[in-house]
Amino acid sequence: MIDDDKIIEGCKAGKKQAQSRLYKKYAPAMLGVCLRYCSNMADAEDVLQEGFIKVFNYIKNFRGEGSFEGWIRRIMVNTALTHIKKNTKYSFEDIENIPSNYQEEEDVVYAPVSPEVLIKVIQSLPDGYRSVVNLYIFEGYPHKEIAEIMGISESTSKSQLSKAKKFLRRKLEEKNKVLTTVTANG
Amino acid sequence: MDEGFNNIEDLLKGTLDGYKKQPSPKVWNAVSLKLFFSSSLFYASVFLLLVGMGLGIYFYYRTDNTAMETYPENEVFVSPKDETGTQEFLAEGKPVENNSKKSDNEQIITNKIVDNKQNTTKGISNSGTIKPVTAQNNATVTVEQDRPNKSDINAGLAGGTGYNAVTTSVAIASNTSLKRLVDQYPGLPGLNDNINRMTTAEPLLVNRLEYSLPEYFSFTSAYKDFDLVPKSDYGRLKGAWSVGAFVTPEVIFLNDEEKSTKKAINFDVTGIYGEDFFLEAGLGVSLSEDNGKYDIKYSQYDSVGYFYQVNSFEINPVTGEPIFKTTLEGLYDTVDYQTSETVNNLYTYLRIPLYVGYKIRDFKGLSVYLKAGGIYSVLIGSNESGADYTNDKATSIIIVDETPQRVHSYFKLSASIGFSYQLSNSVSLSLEPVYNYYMQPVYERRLSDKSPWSLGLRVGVLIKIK
Repeated sequence: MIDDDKIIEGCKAGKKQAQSRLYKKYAPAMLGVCLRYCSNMADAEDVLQEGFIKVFNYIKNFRGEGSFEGWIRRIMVNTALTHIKKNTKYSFEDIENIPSNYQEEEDVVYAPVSPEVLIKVIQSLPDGYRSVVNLYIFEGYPHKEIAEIMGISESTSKSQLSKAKKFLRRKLEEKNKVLTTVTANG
Repeated sequence: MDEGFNNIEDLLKGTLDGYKKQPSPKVWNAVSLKLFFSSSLFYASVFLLLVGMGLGIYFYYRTDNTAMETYPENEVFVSPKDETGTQEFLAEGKPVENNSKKSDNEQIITNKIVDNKQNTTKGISNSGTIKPVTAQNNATVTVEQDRPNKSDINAGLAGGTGYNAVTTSVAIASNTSLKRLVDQYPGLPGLNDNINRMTTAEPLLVNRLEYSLPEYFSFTSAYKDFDLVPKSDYGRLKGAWSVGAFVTPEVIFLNDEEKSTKKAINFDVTGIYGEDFFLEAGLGVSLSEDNGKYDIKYSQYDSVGYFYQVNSFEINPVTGEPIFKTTLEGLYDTVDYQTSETVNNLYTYLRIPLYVGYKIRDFKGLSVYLKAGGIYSVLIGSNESGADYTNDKATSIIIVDETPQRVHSYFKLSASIGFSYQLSNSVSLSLEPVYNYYMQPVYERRLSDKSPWSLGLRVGVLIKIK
């Protein structure tokens, strides 16, 4: 198994074999990231393609500070956000009405669910909500930064996250046996 | 995690962190293709190709010029050819000494031997016969005329008044010289014969210079009915270099589920090098139309039905039944609507075509050839229209741009069968039905897994420049 340093050096030298190895190593994980941001597989593969071209074009700028996978991942996330913005301009159209009597999060337990099902549920979110969910939950950005990245207010980011979570919960509920609701007192 | 997750964030992170999915092979193919075209290897290949072509052309023409320079120093082999007295001048590169072995009735005369004139004169007086004297006189003509000047040749070429001018200039000096000789040596039948024969249709001279001239300047074809284009030259862009200007209307089949088609028009200027096999490269612009699409969602306060508003009632005194007095009232609510708007967009690409071709047939000025190659296109401009939707009654309007983004650059393979018709020595018309296969979708956002293809008709003019 060739380590990342050698692959990176090869890619910096423009070696095709190194580029192929790097792609094979990281493409599956990065497609997993892209699938969370995009609404379908075709878009996700477009973002993956665009992202890897950026990776190879800018790999000379990678100084080895921090994880290489993290660096690629940041490029993929930025590419995905640019792609969404370019194509649809973050839409925050109203998602279906959420009943106001929904129980608090503390009252429920979520049963394990397959990644494929969860990806489908996330993809059913409108672009704007999906981006907020991804940036907050998976990338760990605070609302302030999300607001800057997406060009929205901090409060919008918070409210959209809350709505998105409720939406996801209801979608999971619709898939019977996936979500188990229990009362706080058991 | 069989027990489940306490909140949705844990569920999402726990399930999807580290989630992997294998992408389809076409993603890597597209990545590597784009990397190739943006790599220095690509530019180096193009550079080497251009340098190679340049060197080839340079050496090709340099060799030709050398041939002109080594035109024999008025060494003319004069031979009585047949019994009828037909004579032929043959330019020979052989030294005089080698030719000295010729038979008695063949004489070698060069302008180095000043005495030749005297010999000639002697020959006339001694023999008084026709054959040798004729030959010697011809030789004398050559002696009179030093090596033809380049300027003479060029003047003949530039004159464009027919090929006789060239012939005379190159091989037999000038009519002025001949007339002077006739005046000087009246009654020399051989000389007169030759002067007369120069105007006949029979080719008299074959000159080494002819090998470095295009065929249509040759003696063998120039005298035959003054054909502008020799038969062997029909349909041929001889002389190797041509430039062409082409227009190609094209229909692009996107290969998507809707089987949609788009129109494009291309303008190319190319240089063509070669004869039966040829290379063509150039630059062009492509204007490609496409549709932009906007999804428009709006909410409007609208009628959703009606109901009867009871304003009052009274009891029927006879039957005791209530009688209601009502009015019909409309029922209004905010209703969501969805529509879409299609706009026309125009995209401009810079095209770099490179083809290799082979001429398969020549017939009376009509050539048929096969051509294949590639075209690299780079997006240089786009004119995208915005959605123009207004609705005064709408309470909210959301416009979502669904226009697929065009790729910045793409490569397509091209194959065509071409027909060209030669109008004159230097101008031809060409007509080429073209098939193109795009190596990748033209959209960033993939509409189809299949690459588009297109059919076009390339029409143009070719001008031979050398």
